[in-house]
Amino acid sequence: MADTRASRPAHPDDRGAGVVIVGASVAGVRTAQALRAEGYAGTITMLDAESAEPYDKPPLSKNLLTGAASADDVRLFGEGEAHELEIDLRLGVRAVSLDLGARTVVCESGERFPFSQLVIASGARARRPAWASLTGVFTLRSMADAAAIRERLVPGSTVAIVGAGFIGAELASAAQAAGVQATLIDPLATPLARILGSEVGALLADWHRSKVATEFGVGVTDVSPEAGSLRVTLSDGRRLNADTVLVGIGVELNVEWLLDSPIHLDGGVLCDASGRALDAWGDPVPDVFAVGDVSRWFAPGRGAHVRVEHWTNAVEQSQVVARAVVDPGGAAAHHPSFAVWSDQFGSKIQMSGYTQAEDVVVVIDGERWVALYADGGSLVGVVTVNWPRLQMLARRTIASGGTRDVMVEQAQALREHAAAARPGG
Amino acid sequence: MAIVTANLSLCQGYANCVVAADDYFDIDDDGLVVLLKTDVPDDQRERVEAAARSCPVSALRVTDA
Repeated sequence: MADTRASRPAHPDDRGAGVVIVGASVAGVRTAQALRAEGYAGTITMLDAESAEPYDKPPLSKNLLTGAASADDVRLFGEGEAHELEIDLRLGVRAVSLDLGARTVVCESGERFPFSQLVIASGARARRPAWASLTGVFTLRSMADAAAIRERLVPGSTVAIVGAGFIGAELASAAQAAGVQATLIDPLATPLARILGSEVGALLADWHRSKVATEFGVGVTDVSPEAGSLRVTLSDGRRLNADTVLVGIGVELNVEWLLDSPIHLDGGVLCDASGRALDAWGDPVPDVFAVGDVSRWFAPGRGAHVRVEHWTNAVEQSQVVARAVVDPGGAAAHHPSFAVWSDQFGSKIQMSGYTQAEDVVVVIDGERWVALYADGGSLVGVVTVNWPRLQMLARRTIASGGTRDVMVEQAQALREHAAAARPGG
Repeated sequence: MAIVTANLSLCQGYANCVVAADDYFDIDDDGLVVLLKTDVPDDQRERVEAAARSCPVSALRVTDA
């Protein structure tokens, strides 16, 4: 098929250039799929800097790392579906700048992609400390990273994990499952307090201490090579040796290609509640949208812009943006969804909603427990460990504006019901 | 007319489907999806497909009956 794109004029009035999506992770892929589901018949071009076929990222630190899933299992979008949906998938193509006047995305290769509408889904990359380039030090963000880390998880070896957020804990869990001696390190005494509050953060810190060697409350000041392994220097002066160092200390956004454009970057691509990118005056930039990790949408319920790095929210945003592209007048406001899950140490941790509220009630039933967060009596957030049904009930209660007390009663009833059903109970 | 099917070996109990369409999906105490009904009339198809797409592990399919 002839490539007609180059012959199309990149004129601002050209409505025929179609949608260009920069980034083919879940936010980009789901936007492309949703555009077709919404009946969009124009050209869709999706670019990604990576040359691997688009894949889902949550499994990278979960069952892909443990080997329970293969690359095929986590593929998001392949050539077959691209062909079927008539989506021009361009892999290994890195966007380097945006020429908004000419409505064109300029790529490293020199290729130029004119657009009628642009969807920014360029995501984020792992933050790397200065010593991250040492042999044996890894961050985890891509399929290639996961494969490289998996190679290092040799039984009997040692690994130091820097950062005890969800990714760090999942790395520690996968390492231990592989017979590797892991140490989980975080500068905070209660690493998850920032996102789950002090009480639940402390519960999980205790739980992690019971599962894996931990160094909480001490930072890593340096990592250096030493006799074929790595020497990790802690902020209290102690040192530990590890064959491998894994780093999970957050992300940096892939926004460099937008720096010279009028798009306002403030902790992400600033957007209105429908995903339309804003300029420095707070006005929507015509026909430019952003979705996923790179975007920071206005959240009507919070009265503020928030950036949500979660899979479910990216999927929801992609639907909103697809509708806004197809029907610019009918753009709906999106209320961000904070639904996160983490598989670690044989347990499933799930959280939804606003989990920083200090008013929290915890119901424990053996190996499963729930933390219910309230604001003025209303349930606003939930964390469950090994209790998916309660997580689901709580999510619905949050969505419908129900009270926390009702959920506490339900949790207690489920606990008693389970006790009665147990042998000898 | 279409039908919705679930692959229980993939289901991880995320319950996004229940949030999206609680008349079709529930999850049990073990965290596995329960199909409350499987027939999807044409006027419900878009909504049930959206619920299926919200599954993080693609454990749900809506296919022509």
